[in-house]
Amino acid sequence: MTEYIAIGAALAIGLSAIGAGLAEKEIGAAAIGAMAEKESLFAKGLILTVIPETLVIFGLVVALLITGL
Amino acid sequence: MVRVTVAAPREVLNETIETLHKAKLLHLDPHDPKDGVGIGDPLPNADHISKLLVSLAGLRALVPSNKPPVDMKLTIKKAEEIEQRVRSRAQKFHIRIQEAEHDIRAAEEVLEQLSFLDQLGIKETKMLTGYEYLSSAIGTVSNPDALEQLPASTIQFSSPRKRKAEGGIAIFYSHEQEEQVRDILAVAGFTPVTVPVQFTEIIIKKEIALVTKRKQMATAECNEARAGLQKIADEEGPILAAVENFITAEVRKGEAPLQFAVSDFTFVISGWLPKKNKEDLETKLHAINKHIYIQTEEATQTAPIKFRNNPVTRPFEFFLRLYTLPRYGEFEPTLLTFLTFPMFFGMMLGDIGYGITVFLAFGLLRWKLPQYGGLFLIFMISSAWTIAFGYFFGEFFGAEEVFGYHLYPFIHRVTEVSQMLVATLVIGVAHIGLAYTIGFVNKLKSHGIRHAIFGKGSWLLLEAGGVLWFLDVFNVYAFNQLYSLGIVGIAIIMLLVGEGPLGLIEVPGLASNILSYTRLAAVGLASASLAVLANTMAGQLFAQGGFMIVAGVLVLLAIHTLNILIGLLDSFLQSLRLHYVETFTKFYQGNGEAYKPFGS
Repeated sequence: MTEYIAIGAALAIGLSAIGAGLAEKEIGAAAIGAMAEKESLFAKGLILTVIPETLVIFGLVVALLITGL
Repeated sequence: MVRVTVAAPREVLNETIETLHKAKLLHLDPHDPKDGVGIGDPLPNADHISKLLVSLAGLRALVPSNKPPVDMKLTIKKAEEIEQRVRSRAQKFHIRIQEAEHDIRAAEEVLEQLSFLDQLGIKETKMLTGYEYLSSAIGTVSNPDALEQLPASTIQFSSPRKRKAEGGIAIFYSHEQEEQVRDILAVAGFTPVTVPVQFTEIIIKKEIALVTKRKQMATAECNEARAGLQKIADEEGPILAAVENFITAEVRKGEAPLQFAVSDFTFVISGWLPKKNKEDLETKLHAINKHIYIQTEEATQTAPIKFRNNPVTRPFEFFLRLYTLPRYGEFEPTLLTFLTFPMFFGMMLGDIGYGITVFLAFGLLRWKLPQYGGLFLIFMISSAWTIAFGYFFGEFFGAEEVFGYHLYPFIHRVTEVSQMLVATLVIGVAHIGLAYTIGFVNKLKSHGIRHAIFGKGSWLLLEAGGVLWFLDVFNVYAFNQLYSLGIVGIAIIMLLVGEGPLGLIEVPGLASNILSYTRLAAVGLASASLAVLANTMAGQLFAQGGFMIVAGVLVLLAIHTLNILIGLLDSFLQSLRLHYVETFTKFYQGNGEAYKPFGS
């Protein structure tokens, strides 16, 4: 049973990290493009770029919960 | 802030501009000519002064200097005289530099041609011309192999083949062979090189020595003239800087009427002014002419804002400048970021050793680069929190000991993860609750009690209901579910009234915002684990003794340095994000304009 829990936890964090990475890839490229045109967009670009990051946090929380740490 | 409208007879236009510029109080609001009355023309001498400014900028580029301006009293006439004087001083050296640079370039060109011939093995230029039966082709070929086709009776000189296989050649052939040779050269990719006429009858080696000498002299002359120019830059730089500042201000004054409404006999200026300076400005303007009429009214949201922070919290205005400035009248969150930004940072890095290292590093940077002092102060305050949390988590470079003194963690970040998660969720609930409360006050001031209760109060209530329900579901504290879900229901109805159906879409966002605060635990866990890993690896190496002790020290240095760098970047960005995304969205409008009075 424990091994399945471990695999589940790994999937939770791994897949959510891949998802966040895919999302951030697109947003980050667009944000950098916008910043190259107008430097004052740095903060707004940063905010948009980090929005999908929360996905990994969810994955991590789920992983920690099911491993019962 | 109050909105000020000044109406005055046109003959006092100059004096009014002068007075306003000296007072440094009024933030000008440019007149929109679509309102009927047109804008004014620049003052008569504005064009002349603008030209002076342009030529000053040119002169400053010629004698660059970073020295601060001297304090001196200037008039336009005096500024012109200084500009003339410095220009005539600098011009002499500038011409000398240009001439010397021209000589250097010419010498380099000649040297290139000479060394080309030299490499071909030609000793004297006499060899090249003046033959009765021979023609010559001098140049480069891209495909030297093709030259093997040339008739044996031709005379060839070629430069030693280099790796790029593009060699110089000189071929001498009789006139009858002309056609044949030309065809072969075309295949070989021949590009002719013209040998200048002045090279008749010179001995190449001798000439190279001569021209090299000439180039050295020109270089020396150029350096000498540059040094002269540098001396002028050092002497006159601060004076020129002062003149440039003065003329820039004069240009602004000269172009000020472009922002006024001007008719044939009167003009009107509108702008913003801090309330306490109202009487000051009135006295100053009435001193010019008592027929100047000044009308003031209460400021609206479009007024510029003026930060009022003490020197400790002031650096944190940086985050607002980076994002967007607050609107006039809305809550200015600098104090909030001062309190919680470094706290979140410290919670994520959370290590006494790292805190001390970072504090010292940024203290040093602040001393060396005072122009970024504000940003470095933010890091120093953050590292003070890092040290405090390091004590709380019982970590000193990942170890639980400081020089033999054992640390007792209140929460152990690596082993007591669930406690950390709960703690960070509590912080999230509190922080977001605080943000909604600020939003409530903002709305109360700008839109009245109804908007405040339904727009922001509903969210506060929703959060409270959600927390009660959560406590119940996870058996922390038993409530009747009717209460918690009832509160949530009421909150959602209020939300529907306050923000409409669109508000409902954001309800799950609230949960995700609160969960987002668990990153405080997650980033800290990663940082602490890496520190522990470094210590474990080094410990194993130390146990082996001998040379391995050196390796252990290197491992410690490398991993802890890496961890501090990652920790700095990550803690900074994550903490910033928690403010921008999770907190500011609850109350902050932004899009404000900074108060920048005319003349400052």
